[in-house]
Amino acid sequence: MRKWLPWVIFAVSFVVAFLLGLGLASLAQRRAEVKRLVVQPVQIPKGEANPEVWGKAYPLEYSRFVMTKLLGDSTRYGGSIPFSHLERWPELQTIWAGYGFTVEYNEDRGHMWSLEDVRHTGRQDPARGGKPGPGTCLTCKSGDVPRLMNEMGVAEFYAATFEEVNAKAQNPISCSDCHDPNTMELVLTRPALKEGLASMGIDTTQLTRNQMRSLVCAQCHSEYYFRNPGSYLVFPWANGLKYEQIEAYYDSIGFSDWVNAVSGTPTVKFQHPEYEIFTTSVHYKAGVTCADCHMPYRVEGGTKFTDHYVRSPLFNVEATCGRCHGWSEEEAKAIVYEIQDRHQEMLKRGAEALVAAHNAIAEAAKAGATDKDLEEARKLLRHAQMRWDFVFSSNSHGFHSPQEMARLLAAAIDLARQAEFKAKSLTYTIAKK
Amino acid sequence: MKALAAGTAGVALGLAGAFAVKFDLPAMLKGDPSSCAQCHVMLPQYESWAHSTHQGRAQCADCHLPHENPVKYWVEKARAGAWDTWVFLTGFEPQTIRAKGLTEEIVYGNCLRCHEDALEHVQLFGEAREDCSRCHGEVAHPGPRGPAGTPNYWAKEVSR
Repeated sequence: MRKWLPWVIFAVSFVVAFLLGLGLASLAQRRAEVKRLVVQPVQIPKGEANPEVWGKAYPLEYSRFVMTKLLGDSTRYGGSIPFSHLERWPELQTIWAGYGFTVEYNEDRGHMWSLEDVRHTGRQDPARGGKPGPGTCLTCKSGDVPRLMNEMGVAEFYAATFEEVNAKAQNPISCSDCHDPNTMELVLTRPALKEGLASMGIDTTQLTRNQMRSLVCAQCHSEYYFRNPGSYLVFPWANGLKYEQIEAYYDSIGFSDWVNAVSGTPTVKFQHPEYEIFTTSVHYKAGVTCADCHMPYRVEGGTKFTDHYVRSPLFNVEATCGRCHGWSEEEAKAIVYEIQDRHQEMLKRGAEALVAAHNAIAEAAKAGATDKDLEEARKLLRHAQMRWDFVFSSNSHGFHSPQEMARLLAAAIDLARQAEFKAKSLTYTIAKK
Repeated sequence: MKALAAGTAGVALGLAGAFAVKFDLPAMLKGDPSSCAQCHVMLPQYESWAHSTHQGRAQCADCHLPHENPVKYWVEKARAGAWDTWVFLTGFEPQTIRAKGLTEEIVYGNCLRCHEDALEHVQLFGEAREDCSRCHGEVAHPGPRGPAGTPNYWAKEVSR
């Protein structure tokens, strides 16, 4: 036997034993993951809004929730980098002329930025041409709000100045916005949603868990207006959730947020009607909830939990689309972006039609048309712009309900061009006289 | 010297034996479905199959391994097993596990193995993919893929 042979055998055996040992250790470790992570028995006080305190009892959920503080990334049309919509859409200066959104309108960042971003928006800053809002503006920006409403009273909270409630708020959007601290059940903490559902005849004590997985989001991701005096927060849902029903509601109470400074058209400024639009979609009809795509189930170790890193599913296609659809990540993204590209094209045509209508009405007024002459054109433009804004101001860039959003944009373009035609006819008639 | 060599070889063999025991090698060689779910990341797949119409009729290996001849069967079993073991031990499994590429082809072949008669009356047009599971995926694994459709799966011990 050669002298070196045993050493070779030794080396080979050593390496094999070593690798197998590592494998066994890893196997034992991964087997142990099957055991459910034991939750620390931390008592969360009622009204506690600091996510760190909740995080002691729910470390996995907390570890993902704090990731909403990351600056994140952009999708093709959205994401969490706060780019300026006003720069991307120069038409907005005409469409929203005379309204606060022409001061500053940035893409929104993650949930943990909510308090900081509402405190520093130019829309509330007189130095930049904005004006301070009422306490109502803080309703959806802090997990302290349920506690403050309890202490102050709901109507008093809304009627207070922004400064007053801002001084009392310490935390951004938090666990306490959607969860009961004792049972961890989903709960509705915002009166506006409960009142909105009640106005539609829905019993808010009989909601299923599946409905709650969307409704906790709808507490804030819905259209609303301030009922004055007192800036009381109201969801315009008494007739129903469809656009035409909301329009009929606003028209019946003669509501406008402001009068457009270019054309003198009294208009409603819509704000993120995500829930309303999603309820018209095929995903909603199939029983998919907001959480299924924006907070999918996640596995870490052997523990299944809800991913509280709330963000666009485009950043997490495998755990969202992939759960039901057989497409690869690339296929799924291509399908979504195809919808969003088409949507952008329609939005752009809509914006151009609105600008043309605003300018045509302004020209007619300059030529001498009276408010009475322009009443019909302004009414057409009001309804065109409300449709366009309902779609434009809702997140998802067309994906939440592609066909419903296309239907509204088609009507918006048609009505805007009708308004433009009416106004131009007036200008022509006056010039001929 | 000879003793040293024999000793280390023994250690290596012993460890390999332990590995085989830990992984329940006999059950694996037999192709028992519960042995596939030994790695807990496969539990959603096991659970959805166990609630499907194919449960009791076709087991994991009946669909996921080629059955043309024993050589193909055992080569693929070794390849897939080694790959899955590697992914599991290194912890790189995706959040949603699903059949891709070669597995899709193998599964399609196995659909035909039992259902070829049914296909006599079916004509695939144009670019229709030869992939039954594209439309009939719910047959063997109903419900959403991955943890979404499998409540509390971590807590379940698979009986074997």
